[in-house]
Formats: sequence, C-alpha cells, structure tokens
Amino acid sequence: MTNATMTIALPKGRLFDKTRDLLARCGYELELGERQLVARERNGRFRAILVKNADLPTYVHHGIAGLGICGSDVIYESGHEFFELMTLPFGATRICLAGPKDVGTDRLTEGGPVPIASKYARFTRDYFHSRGIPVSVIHLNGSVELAPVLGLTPYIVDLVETGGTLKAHDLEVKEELGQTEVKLIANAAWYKYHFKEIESLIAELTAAL
Amino acid sequence: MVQAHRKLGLPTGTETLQLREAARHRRISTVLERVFSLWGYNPAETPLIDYFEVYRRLIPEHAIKRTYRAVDRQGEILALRSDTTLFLAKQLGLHLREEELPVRVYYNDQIVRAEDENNPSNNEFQQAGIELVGVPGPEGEAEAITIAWEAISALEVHAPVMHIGSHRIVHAAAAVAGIDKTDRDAMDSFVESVRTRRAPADAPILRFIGTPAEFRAAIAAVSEASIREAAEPFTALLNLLEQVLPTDSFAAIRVDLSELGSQSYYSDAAFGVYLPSTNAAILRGGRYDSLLASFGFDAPSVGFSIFTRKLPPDTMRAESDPAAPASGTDFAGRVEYAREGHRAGRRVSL
Repeated sequence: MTNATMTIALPKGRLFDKTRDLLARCGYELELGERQLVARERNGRFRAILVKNADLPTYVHHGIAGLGICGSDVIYESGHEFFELMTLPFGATRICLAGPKDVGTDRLTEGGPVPIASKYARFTRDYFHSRGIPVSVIHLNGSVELAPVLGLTPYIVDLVETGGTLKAHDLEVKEELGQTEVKLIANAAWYKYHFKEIESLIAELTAAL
Repeated sequence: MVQAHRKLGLPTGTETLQLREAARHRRISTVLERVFSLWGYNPAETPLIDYFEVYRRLIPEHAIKRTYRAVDRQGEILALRSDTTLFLAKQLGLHLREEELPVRVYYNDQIVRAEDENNPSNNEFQQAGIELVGVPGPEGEAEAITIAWEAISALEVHAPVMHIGSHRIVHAAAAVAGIDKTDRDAMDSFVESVRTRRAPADAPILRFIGTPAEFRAAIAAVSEASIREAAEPFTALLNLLEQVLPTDSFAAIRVDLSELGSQSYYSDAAFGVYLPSTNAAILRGGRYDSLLASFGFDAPSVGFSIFTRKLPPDTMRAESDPAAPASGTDFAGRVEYAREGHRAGRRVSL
C-alpha cells in the first residue's frame, strides 16, 4: 500500500453517484473536480479514487485502495480474494443466459460444448461446468448482444436489468443464472491492520441505509 | 531469433536482484539467520525440485495452479519448490528419529510461484523461517511466536501487528454446527468461511478480532462448553506470550479467529504479521501437527515463514557497513592496505 490513508476505490458511473449519495448521508462529502479521478473527503477521513469497474479489484488487490465498492460479478471475474464486508442496497441485478427468440435451449443438453459469448467468461465457464454442461466461452468486452445477432455464438451471458437491450436485438432471457450484488470489499491485509477504523465506517454506512 | 519477451523478461514468479537490491536482500537474510541461529536453530537446505505427487493432496487447488511443474526424462511429474515448509516436512519426515527430538531448523530459500502474467503482484520469491519439531502444545507455539517477533523487531519494520487465530476453536465451532470432522470438503468450506470473514452469524465469536484481554472475556461468554474447552490451549498460549514478550510486542498482538493461514495443513494456532504499508502478510506461521506424518514420521511441528521480498522497500535499505576504498600509491600498496583492514575486520575494497 502506498500510504496509510484510508482509500476507497469507487467505480465510475451510476454506482459512483449512488455511493456518493450514501456517503453524503453519513456526513462525508466527496470533493471531485471536473475530470478528476481522485476525490478527497471534505473532513479528510479518506480519499476516493474513481476507476473503471473492471479495474477496481486490481487496485484493491494491490492495496492501492484498502476498500472498494464493486459488483459481485466483477469481483468473481477478477479471480482475486477479498473480504466482502457489506452488501449495498443498490445496483443488484440478474445475470442471465440469453439468445434469439427462435433458438431454444436444447443445445445445452445435447452434449457438445455450447458456444457462449460473455464479458463474464470465468463465471460462465464455472457456472455451466458446475452443472456438468460443457461450454466454449468467447470473451467480449462489451455489446455482447451482437454475438447472436451476427452469428458469433447462439447464446450470451450478460447482466439483465430491464431486458430492453435484449428486446431491441430480438433476444430474450433463456435462464436466470444468478443475482449480482454490490459489495463493499477490502484488501484482507488492509482490513486486518485497520479493522477498527473500517468497522466504524461500516457501522456508519449501515445506519445510513 | 529469441523472442523479445523471453529475452527481456523472466517467467512469472521469479526475479533477479542486482547491486543495491541484492545487497539489501543479503542484509535481511543475515539479520534473520542470526536471530534464528541465536535461538539454537540449525540451517536446513531443501531440494529445489521434487516429485509433485508427494505433495499433491497437501496443496490446495488455488496453490496447485501456482506450482510450476515439469516432466523429467522418466515421465515423472516434478514440482518446483513453491512452499519451503512442505519440502522441508518431507525431508524431516523421512530422516528424523524419535530420539533426535526436539529438532530446530531454519531455512532461507527461494520459492517459485507462477503468477498472472498481466497482474504480477505477490512478491513471494523467498521464504526465511524456522521449523520446531517435537514440542507440542502452547510452549511450542510460544517459542515460534517469540522468535517471529524477535525476527520482525530485528528488521526494524514500522508498527507491525500480529494476528493469531486457532484452528482448534474453529473446528470445535464446526462440530457445534453439525459438521462431521471426517467430511473434509464440508470442514474446508467452513474454515474458508471463517478465514474470509463470512462465518455463520450464529457464531459471532468466529468473527472476533481484539486484544487478548477482550478475547478472554468474549470466549468466557460463549455458551457452548466444547468451544470454551477448545480455547483453553489458546488462552494458555496467550498467557505465555504475555509473560515472555516485551510489553510493546504483546500490545501488538491481536486475537483474530479469521487468521487461519493460507495453507490447508495448519492444525491449531496460526498467525500472521501485518504492516500498515503492505498489501499482504509479511509473515505467516502456525502449528501443523499432522504434516510430518504425511511423510512417515509423526511428530508435532510448528514454524513460520517470512516472505522477505514482501518487506517494505525501505527495510534494511541503509548499508550498515559500506566498504572503504583502499589507499596507496600503487596496486600492491592498495592490496596491502586492504589486507591490513581485513585483519582488523573492516571492509576495504581495491
């Protein structure tokens, strides 16, 4: 860790706004200039760094940030181990198998490896293998809905909130595979050293929910 | 033509040290070996390569992925040393005799653990530590922890804390939760949940972190007698540590029942040392009473390893005994000057 200041890694985008609101309810105002990626808490209790969602576990794993707020899907994909200290009451969503409306799910039981495109390659592989279904996962970084539309794979695994994007591409949910949640995570060594400070913050966050 | 990545890089999990960094590493090794030696420990050397099959069932799945393996000319699968404790346990298990106990050995060896090429971070290149074989119970653990603290103090690192946990207490809690101790998968899963601070909500003691005094009060309030009984050797260990550790060291001891080590062979007390500025434990240790039996010799064992390359970069940075340049009008004169200095125990270079 580069220093002993409590540093929280926050994902850019909607989760940042919601986390910022939650911290504000605890009396912690994050001061963030335009285009800045490092925010100071007004009272100096901690600083926040804004990072890309998929990079967040890396910063916490390396101890650049002792804490982070991150989706369980991203945590799983990182392959790193963290202490998951708290589940936050926002950002939960479904992770689903989806495909074209005219394609059934027969291929899942036909025996051969099932081609699936996903940002969540580790999860997809582990999930289907745990059910004894061989899969061939193609990793994509975004716009996963295009894979079945363009014929890359018949299925995708992706997060589904309203289903609007699927519908726009003539796709549908074939199966809900699980729920993702937003977690407060900690680097284990950082937590152990600073557990009192962190537990105090958790108590404040819990009270503000 | 050699590919650039091979020419410029090294396989993951290994490193090269040059000049000042190599000297710093050597200073750390010297300090630690002196502490171990003063406490009556003798050096041991372990093989760099051994048969993988011997260790297979003792290495957790995540660690197997990090173990470099190769096939020899007879088709045997070999493992490069990824954990000195395991490799040393085999040697001790094969060669020790009952009448030799207790045996005290130390080591300072390179280890190799494969890492993600795009995210190398572990700095687990070197382990220096001790093994104490043949001393059961709290006294053996107290000896290891006392030496661990002395080693950490000798390195002059800033503000260390030691977390100590107990597999015995966790196993007792697992039994209360209805887990059969012969069901290894279920037991491993329970231990894992405690280690990652996801212990069952109805067993809050398993999430305890606090001072030894706070722990004594907390364990006394636990309703299950079997858990309280399992904690007795642990509280005896804390009492011993309170007697023998310097006051400031004992003040830096935290009972942490999630401190269970990262290896599956620990059987009772486990401990780790953390610093404010590092992202992982710099020292891990504990008791592993059944490990040597896996190699044919059943004796209680306890020990610890310091990951010396995880120490903060300023540890032992300053050169304590720089070599002075020899003076003289010609080469022969400078050699004579240097020899005179060497006879007086001073470092002199030409």
